[in-house]
Amino acid sequence: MSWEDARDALRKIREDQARDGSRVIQLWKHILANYAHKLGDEVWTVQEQVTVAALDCQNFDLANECITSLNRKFPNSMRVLRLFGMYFEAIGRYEKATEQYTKILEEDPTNMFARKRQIAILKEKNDIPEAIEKLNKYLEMFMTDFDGWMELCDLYLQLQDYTKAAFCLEELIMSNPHNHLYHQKYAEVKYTQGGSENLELARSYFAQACKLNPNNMRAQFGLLLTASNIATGYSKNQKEKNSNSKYAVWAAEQIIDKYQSTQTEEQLQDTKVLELIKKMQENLVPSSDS
Amino acid sequence: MKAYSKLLLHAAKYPHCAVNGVLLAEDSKSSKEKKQIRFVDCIPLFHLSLSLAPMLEAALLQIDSYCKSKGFVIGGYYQANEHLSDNQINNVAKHIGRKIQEYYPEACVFMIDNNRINPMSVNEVYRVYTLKESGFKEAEKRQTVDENTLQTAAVLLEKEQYRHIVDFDNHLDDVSKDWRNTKINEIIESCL
Repeated sequence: MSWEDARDALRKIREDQARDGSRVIQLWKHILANYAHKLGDEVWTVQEQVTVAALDCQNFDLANECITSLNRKFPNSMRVLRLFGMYFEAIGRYEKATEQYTKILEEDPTNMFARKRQIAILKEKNDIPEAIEKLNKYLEMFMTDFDGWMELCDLYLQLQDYTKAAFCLEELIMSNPHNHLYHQKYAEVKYTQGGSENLELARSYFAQACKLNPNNMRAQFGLLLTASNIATGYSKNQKEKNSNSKYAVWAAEQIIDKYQSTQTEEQLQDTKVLELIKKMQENLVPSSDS
Repeated sequence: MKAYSKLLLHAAKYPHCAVNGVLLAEDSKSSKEKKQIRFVDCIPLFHLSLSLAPMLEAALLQIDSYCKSKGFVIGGYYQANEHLSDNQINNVAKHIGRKIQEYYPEACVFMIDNNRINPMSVNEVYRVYTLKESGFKEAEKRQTVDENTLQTAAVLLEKEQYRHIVDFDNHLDDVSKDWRNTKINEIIESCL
């Protein structure tokens, strides 16, 4: 691989925000480190990237090396300060890390990164309730940080507080009504909560996710499961039962189509997935004779 | 060997996420030896969201029908937590473990110790729990895999084969991805 290729590979990783520390380190160590002078000003961005990757892989020597060189070039820079913070976090010296972040926030109270790291430290200490509280405060200030809401949702899920997790997703759906992933996840939470009311909700949100993105397999499976559950267990009357069977059968057809068009014959044969879905479908058909 | 290697590779693919999956065992109802479960394969499940039910159900339905056609049963569950030093069995693991155990009484739960995922590792990477009346208890220490398996798994890890392992989350993102991981199976076979 030439150094240009390595540079482009690192660029791509940065753009995709992929988290692949070991690959970043390999590209740097084996190729780019010897061509650093050719990178021009990009070298600083790359070194920042390598630092984070090295911390991810517990390669403290390399991280140290990069931070030192960055610090020499940009003394007192906020971005270097935050790397120092992350370094202390990685070696487990949380107080020292918090100190760095506080320093950043004194200079720039709106620095979202430093605030998020402080919450991350709480997570590292496994203090989830405190992390939730801090994140809630953070979201009061930065209401449009959607990743923040998602993180809060996942923290609630860790504590199995489904009601609050659902609330975060409601918030997300309100501000992003066209994002199928939020609909799908909201439906998943509602399904997990169980009970006929939640299942109804789950069904309509799965359906909405299917509509927004017909390729969302999770939503298709979700729709199949919720609709057939309602049809077989929770329907109040025949009409409801019939319409739910109809939804389930429709979802099953979509799923079968998808599997048939993308998987190989051998795979379909071996995993028996089509037989399974068809069986689910058959169980529903007799009641939908209206 | 297939089961152990794939479990290890799955945990290594997503170092920053919690992961889980199920282990398939030979159905021992047919054979007389009840004492030992022989795990023959491993199906990696999720790395995005472990505590939500619908996709778990969808996956287990598929795996169940696959098992039936092969004469396997779902005999175990494994989980690696998100936090590096957290290897406690949590509510999610207990819940799923219990469900699996209802169908297969000898089933056990494997909690992965993240610190041991390393090509140099000479020990098994997990602790085994079994369900007793009062709840999940750590089972007696017992060798569950042989030297050979540990070595093969270490080699696969070293060669970064974990980049190619496919779990159910990958499968649901792209249906053509195969959760049986036939390619990796072939590589493992060739190491024998």
